[in-house]
Amino acid sequence: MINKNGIFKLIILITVIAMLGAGLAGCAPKPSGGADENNGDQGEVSNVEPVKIGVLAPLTGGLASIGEQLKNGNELAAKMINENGGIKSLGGAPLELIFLDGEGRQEVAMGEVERAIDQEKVSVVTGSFHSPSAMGATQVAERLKTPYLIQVAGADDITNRGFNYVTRVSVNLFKYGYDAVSYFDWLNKEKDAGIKKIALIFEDADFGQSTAKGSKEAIKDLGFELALDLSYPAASTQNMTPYVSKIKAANVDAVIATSFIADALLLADSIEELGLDAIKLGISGGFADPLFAENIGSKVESWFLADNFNTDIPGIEEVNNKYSETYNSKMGGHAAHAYQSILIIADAIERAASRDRDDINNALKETSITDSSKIIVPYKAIEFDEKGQNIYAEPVVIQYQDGERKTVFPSKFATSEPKF
Amino acid sequence: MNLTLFGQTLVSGLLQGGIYAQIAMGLMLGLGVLGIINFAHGEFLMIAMYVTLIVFRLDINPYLAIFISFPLLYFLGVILAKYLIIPILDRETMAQFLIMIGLSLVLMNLAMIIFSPNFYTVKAALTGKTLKIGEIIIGANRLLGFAISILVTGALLWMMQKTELGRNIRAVSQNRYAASLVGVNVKAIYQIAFGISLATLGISGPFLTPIYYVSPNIGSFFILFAFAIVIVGGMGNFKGALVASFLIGLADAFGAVLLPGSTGPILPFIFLILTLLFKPKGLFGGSGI
Amino acid sequence: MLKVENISAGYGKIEVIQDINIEVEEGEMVALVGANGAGKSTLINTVSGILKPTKGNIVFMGENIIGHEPHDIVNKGLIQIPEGRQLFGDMTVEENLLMGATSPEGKKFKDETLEYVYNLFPRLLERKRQISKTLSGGEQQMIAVGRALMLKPKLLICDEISLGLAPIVVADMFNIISGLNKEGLTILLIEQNVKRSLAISKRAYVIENGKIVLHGLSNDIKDDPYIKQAYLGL
Ligand SMILES: Nc1ncnc2c1ncn2[C@@H]1O[C@H](COP(=O)(O)OP(=O)(O)OP(=O)(O)O)[C@@H](O)[C@H]1O
Ligand SMILES: [Mg+2]
Repeated sequence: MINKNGIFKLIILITVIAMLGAGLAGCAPKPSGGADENNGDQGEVSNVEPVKIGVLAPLTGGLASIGEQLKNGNELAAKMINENGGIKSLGGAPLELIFLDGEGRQEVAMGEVERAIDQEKVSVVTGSFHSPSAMGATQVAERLKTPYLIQVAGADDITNRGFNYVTRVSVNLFKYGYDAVSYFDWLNKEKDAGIKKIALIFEDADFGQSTAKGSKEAIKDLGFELALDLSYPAASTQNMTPYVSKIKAANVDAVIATSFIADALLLADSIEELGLDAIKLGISGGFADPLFAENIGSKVESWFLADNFNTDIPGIEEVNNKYSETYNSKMGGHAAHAYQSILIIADAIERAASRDRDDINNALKETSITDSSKIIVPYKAIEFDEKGQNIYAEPVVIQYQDGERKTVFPSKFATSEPKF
Repeated sequence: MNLTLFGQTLVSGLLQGGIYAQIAMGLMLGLGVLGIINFAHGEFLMIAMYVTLIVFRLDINPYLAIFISFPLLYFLGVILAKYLIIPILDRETMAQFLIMIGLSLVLMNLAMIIFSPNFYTVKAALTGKTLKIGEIIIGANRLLGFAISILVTGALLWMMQKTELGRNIRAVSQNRYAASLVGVNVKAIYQIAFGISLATLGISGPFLTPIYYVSPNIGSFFILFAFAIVIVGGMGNFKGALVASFLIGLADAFGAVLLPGSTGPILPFIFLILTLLFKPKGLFGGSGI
Repeated sequence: MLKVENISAGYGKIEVIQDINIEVEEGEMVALVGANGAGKSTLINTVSGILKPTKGNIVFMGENIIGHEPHDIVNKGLIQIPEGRQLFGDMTVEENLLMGATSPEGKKFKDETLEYVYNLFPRLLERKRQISKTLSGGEQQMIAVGRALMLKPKLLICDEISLGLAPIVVADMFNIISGLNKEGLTILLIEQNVKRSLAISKRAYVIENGKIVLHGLSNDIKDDPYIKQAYLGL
């Protein structure tokens, strides 16, 4: 009745399709107008040997939508640098990006980074968004003595382990959580917001735990009352209504949420449904994702969003336009940090005048970028402390107003007043 | 816990349970009749949801997507049963596992290629509308999704118990050898049953999409709960699965509200483990459907 | 009515029956006897289309049914009561019987056949709402016979319907089978109970190790010295 040979062929077919599917998914979702896949899109081909940079990002799997934005940002920066003559101190060597698909899985990320260092002989590694992957990947880089510049992964421990080869551009999670509360303090003082009781709701992995830690410390420091401290597992929570009911029952003045995109959408929907009346602030992650606003529509205007980037920051129009032209989508914080990171790496290589990993690492750690034309992220400057954390990385608070993504805090970057 | 919070949690748990039910029912039909664990069940829901998204993007009422997703998923089920599943029914379980997991990955990746990994939401007529009973607020979309779920489940139960097709499906599930000896076309029943199993998702999809969102990995979101329900309700026991859906939905909701920190979702799984420990055949006993 | 010609069949690479030739004429009751593992069930499952033969022909009512699907063969009126009853255990007695009425012929005469079956087995009428797996072995065998009758068989093949039943119930069963034959039903009786089956059948085949070793009138076979010694313990 059964043809064994036939089934064997079927298994092969399925495996091939599955692999093909996985492979294509890694490079496929590119909106129209995009450059092609080969290295040509990173700029001119020069006859000087390129400097290889490993770029880790979750290109497939559940985080692939963010991975794509990261990829775009990295790619655009490399292209601009190469078009402007590459690394001058190395005779115009172009940057060659080697994309490493971490799939949003730690073990895969670690394997890919090790492969890039050992086999692809990259001089430096950058990227990753998914913190567990970043934790693992930096461990590999540290062991193999290769500089690793973190773009957006926020886990506090990434720079708290005393590693010599790790630096980070973006805001770390503790800082996000802390500054969210500082913002409420500012609202109380400047805008008479009258916030006393605060509820925290956060996904229960390192991302949410770390921001919550920052918020709790700030709540204590600044004299607020922590009315509720809720966490949930993002991967298995489809129903946010019970959590929101609980927040509603607690009569709080403000809520700080830390979520990935899926749970952020469900949370916002449930809040709307139950008519929760409180000031709402969402920290980075899902809330910073342009998909959040796109999907929840006009009710997004009732949210404050803490992010590491906004397009209304002065002086970034050029990059912003280039990005939209090339990728047919708006540049978000992930892409901006990816872009910024490649600029920082290029600056370090330029100063090091070397492809050597240690030379580049030393140059990276001495980075001091203060020229605002070289900064497209909302930080006054870029300098790393002894742990490798960018000293000037602070979140901005954003609010959608009449469909525009306006920065409302801190004052030095603000383009509008908060509405609540 | 005050009364309002209790009521709100109760309602929320019941609604959620109802939504799980229709997903679990289809899963169980495939499992009970073909004896195959359809790891791609959630991905078929995803297909129905993308159909809804497309219909919505064409400026057509997303609920009307049912007229496409229902027949589409039925025929997809029939064709898959014929060319993929029936040929592997006599293989070792491990080979079946690999093939079904492979199918799930293929579908997920195809969705990623076709629709990008992005998240999309669909607004329906009832989006944002709520119903108030005293202090308790019920999202209209959820209520509709729940009602549809109960209808689908009821229709499935009726079909299985009261129609000749249902009796033939049960016969094949209970004894495929005897079924063929009383003139039942076993292969045809396999195809129809798997078709129906997926068609239930074709009904659910258009009503669940406005409550959730669509993305290539939305299927995996539901599948774990669907499996838990099949286990708790008892293999092949449709009524058991219906009750188990509500119990799991309630456990999920009350766990979120009552248990500290993020330990809430442990409750449904404690429930599952206890069932496995004390009633390994499910709360209501297994049956051959 | 049924003509099995040079049939060989088995499981995977193992050939269990070889070159079997059997014939059943309309209205006859023919017995096929043999020890455990001789290949009786293998033969009739091949006839029913469950197993595909490696060679040979099976002609039923003038039509070669090799390669036909089991449900197709059932619809032609070739009905098997399988060994071990094979009920739908979680269905009620009546549901099991009605499962027989799914063939076109069975559907046509559903109500009258059901009445006929309940007349034949009044115990089933009393228990029609009971879940079949909770019935006694004898009662379950009645369901199996009843279910086959619901299909309006032209040829009924009974595979060891006396197996595992108490002697008094066995006697009842043989009486009922004999009665059905007298009413005109063609029957191929497969049995280990050689004595009884030879007593009620007209002709018989003896199968050993997958081969027919003897065939002829049941009366003659009963008196065959080899059969007496090997099967009748005389
Ligand atoms: N599904 C199967 N797979 C492999 N071998 C089988 C299978 N079924 C039966 N056999 C083997 O085929 C041979 C004949 O078995 P069969 O069931 O036809 O015997 P039988 O004459 O009906 O015996 P019994 O009187 O015990 O029912 C035996 O050796 C048995 O082990
Ligand atoms: Mg036998």
